[in-house]
Amino acid sequence: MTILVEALVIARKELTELARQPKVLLLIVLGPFVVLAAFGVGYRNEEVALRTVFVGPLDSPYEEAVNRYADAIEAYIVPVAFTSDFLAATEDLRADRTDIVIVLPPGVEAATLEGRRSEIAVIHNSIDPIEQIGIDFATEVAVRELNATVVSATLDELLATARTVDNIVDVQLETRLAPDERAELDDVRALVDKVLELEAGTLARPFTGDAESLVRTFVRPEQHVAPGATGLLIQHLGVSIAALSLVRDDRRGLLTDYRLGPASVVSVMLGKLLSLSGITLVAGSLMTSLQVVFLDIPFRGSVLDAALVLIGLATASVSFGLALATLSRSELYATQSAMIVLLIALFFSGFLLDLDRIRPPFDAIANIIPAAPAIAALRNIQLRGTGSGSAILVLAIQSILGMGAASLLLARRWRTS
Amino acid sequence: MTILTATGVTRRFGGHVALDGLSLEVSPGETVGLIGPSGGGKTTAVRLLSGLDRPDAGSVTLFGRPAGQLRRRDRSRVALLAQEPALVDDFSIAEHVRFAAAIRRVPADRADAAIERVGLADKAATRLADASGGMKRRAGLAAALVGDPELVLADEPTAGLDPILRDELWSWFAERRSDGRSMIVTTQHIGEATRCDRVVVLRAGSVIFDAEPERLRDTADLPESVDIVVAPAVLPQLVDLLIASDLWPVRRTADSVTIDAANAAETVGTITSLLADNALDVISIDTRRPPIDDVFRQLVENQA
Repeated sequence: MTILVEALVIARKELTELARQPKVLLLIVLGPFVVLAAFGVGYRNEEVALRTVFVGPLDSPYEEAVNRYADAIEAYIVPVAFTSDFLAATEDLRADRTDIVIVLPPGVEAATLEGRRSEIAVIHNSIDPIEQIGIDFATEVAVRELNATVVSATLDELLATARTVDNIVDVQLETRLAPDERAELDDVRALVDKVLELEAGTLARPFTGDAESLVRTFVRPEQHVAPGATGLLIQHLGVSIAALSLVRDDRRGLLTDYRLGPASVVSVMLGKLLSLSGITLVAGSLMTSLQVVFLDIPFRGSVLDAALVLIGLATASVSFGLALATLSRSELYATQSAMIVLLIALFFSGFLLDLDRIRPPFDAIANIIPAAPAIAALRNIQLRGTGSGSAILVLAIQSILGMGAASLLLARRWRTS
Repeated sequence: MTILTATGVTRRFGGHVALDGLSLEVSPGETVGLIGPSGGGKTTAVRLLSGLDRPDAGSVTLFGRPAGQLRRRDRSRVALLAQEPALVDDFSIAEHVRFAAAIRRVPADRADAAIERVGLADKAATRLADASGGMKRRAGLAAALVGDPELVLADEPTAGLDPILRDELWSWFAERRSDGRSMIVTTQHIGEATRCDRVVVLRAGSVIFDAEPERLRDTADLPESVDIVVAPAVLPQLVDLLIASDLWPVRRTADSVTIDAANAAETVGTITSLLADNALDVISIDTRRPPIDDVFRQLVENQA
């Protein structure tokens, strides 16, 4: 009872202090929302047209093929020119006048007749690894399409020839064959007729693809980013205000007052947890509501599940910040530590990169980052409409461990100082 | 009965000895001054005596228990008043003192009484961030005293204060003393030593004096002064007579001379006889003890 009364006194002090700083409150709530809104409005959600120059022998079958089948490959790349001047093409690439140079090798026909495959070189000037993956993929698909288109045209010609031959066979051979030979010819003719009914395009491209998501609706980039941004920003808010609050109280001498008060370590920690988690939770709820109302971010799951995840995230983050503060002796140290935690969360929370891409033992870092389970759960709740999974349990364990560590560290400091 | 007992308290920081063997007893209603130059070990002593820090050697007991292991109810009998009080800047003075009262589990009306006691009743609504330095000090004092602690450890509470506020502060301390409350006050102002019941002088962590303030002058090997005021016309004759008697003036004005004397009473007798023998009229003869600042300076320098 005493601990609760002391904790409430300290919680009230924290809330009053923050309430007296309306600009900070405004920044906490509106800042992340404005950033996300700017991203949502400013992000270009369309395929980037890769301006492509083909380099190969002039008047070669390639040039004709590129010109003839430009429509077929324009879904992947935009053919800008066909040239034999490799140096000029690469110069344009360096000057950012084009995005890709595709170099077609000479002597393809001869190589094909000899049973060798010819290699097409693709040159780009990008240093962005994700963009590089996109370029590789787009050019590979474009080259395949070019191959298929050429094969399709060749098949067309072959089929036309076959029809002519079939007619000649019909007229000239039919009367000269023995009855058993005629029966065999009828079988062959039936087979040829089947082949002749096929389209060359279908033979060249027997499959088409159409990806379909279980979510059943298209998720826009800002919609995918929004729950992650909420998780990340709420964690940063909780960690930083908790760390700064304890370090500031220490620097001002209030912790000494609490100690002589006397208030127990648990009262101090509980008071701060109650008030700062409350503020963090309000900020998180407002952020999520504003996203849903004004940015058209979906909310397909249960409000209760989302509320529990946000409560867990707020308490785990504040606990983490309090533990961090007991190791910090200055506000600068606390601020920088909070920034480092944010940086760790950027890479190990699943916000930027899928956690499956991180190798053991580094993937274990996600277990101590409150944003990691929260982001996965918020994405599931908001975008898939499913439950929170084990996130609430993980966040509860993180909260208990964080509070335990913070209390023990402060008690140790009070005992040994 | 003693409230606080310190025995051979020593504290080291690395190789530096911040406090070396401090022994001290504080009785109810007693005000002890810890005086010394900067770096003398005063703040270290306050932290050790309040139980905020642990000594490397020696022991501190408060209310009969080791200072580091006080029970909750004993802990609330001690308060610390820092040079820069711990304040919540976004609170008003009233809110801050009530907050301090709540932490000490004292009724809110005691907070209002403490505010009134330090003369801030009409400024209670002022936000601490907007308060003057003097108001902040008073608010800090009200917060420290709100639980009516039996022992207050005040670490340089008068540093940087104007003389009027300094006097007011000492008046409040005197009130507490009359209520039977004890205080340990650290200060660099030797003049404030005279307001204490006992003075402990610290130099480089060591105690170099521990007694009543009146005995401070006894330790000093400094002359007293005798000021003789006469009519300006007779002053030259008086000076000649004094020199002839081997009493050399150290200062002279238009109508007075000052003489240093190892024994002021004996010297006054000699001068009185001299004036009477030569029929010189005297306006006044006064003796002065050496300035306390000079006494302190000599005490500290002699121990260097």
